[in-house]
Amino acid sequence: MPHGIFQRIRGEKGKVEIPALGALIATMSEWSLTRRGGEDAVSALYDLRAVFSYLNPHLWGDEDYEKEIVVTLGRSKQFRVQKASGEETVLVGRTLLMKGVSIHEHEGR
Amino acid sequence: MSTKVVDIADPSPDIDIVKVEVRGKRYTFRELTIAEYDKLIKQATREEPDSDGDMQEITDSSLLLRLMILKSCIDPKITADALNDLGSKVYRALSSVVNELHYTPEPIKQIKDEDEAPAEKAEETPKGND
Repeated sequence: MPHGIFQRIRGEKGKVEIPALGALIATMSEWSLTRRGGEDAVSALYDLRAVFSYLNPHLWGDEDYEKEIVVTLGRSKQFRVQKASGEETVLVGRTLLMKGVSIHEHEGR
Repeated sequence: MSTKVVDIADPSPDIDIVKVEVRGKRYTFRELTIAEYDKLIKQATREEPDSDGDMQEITDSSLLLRLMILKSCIDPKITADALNDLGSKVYRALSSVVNELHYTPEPIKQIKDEDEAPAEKAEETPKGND
């Protein structure tokens, strides 16, 4: 997806899965993606804020398994959210802040 | 396809280790501690609404078994992706090893009073019953 199309978008549906295990570990009740601004590569990243309606904290916190975060925009448009290395992730209760993510079109399953 | 136990290491007082060969490849499994097992139970448990809309916890036994194989197999270390690439029969064989390792209780030796304190037993022998 080209960067810079929007400054901020928000939605309701989203999920976190561990594809290798076929495990759904979180669902979202709301989310937003905010662009950092600027034209360089780092500024083109977004910050993801999400509130989980369901979260399995035991699998979320297990670093052995790669997670896939997907947010749904509108009825069916899906984007995969990928964290950039070295960026901060904070989870407080069921509220998530993931800084410095890139977004990619996702084939819905 | 057969699974054969090729070696059983000297039993640790706490943790059992078993080595098996499946389709020509050797695997070493170790028994999980109960704390590790409890953690995997939590990982495999999710909340779902029942028919009344009340949330209930459901443990996904298939996911639990996968997590147990991944955690229990120490040589070679298997990743979740590698587990997906295993043949179905190999997976079934590894599953049976893990099930056997974790769900078959240790043999229990019942200790009778006379084994523990034979001297006291002698003293308790009834007298004057003949």
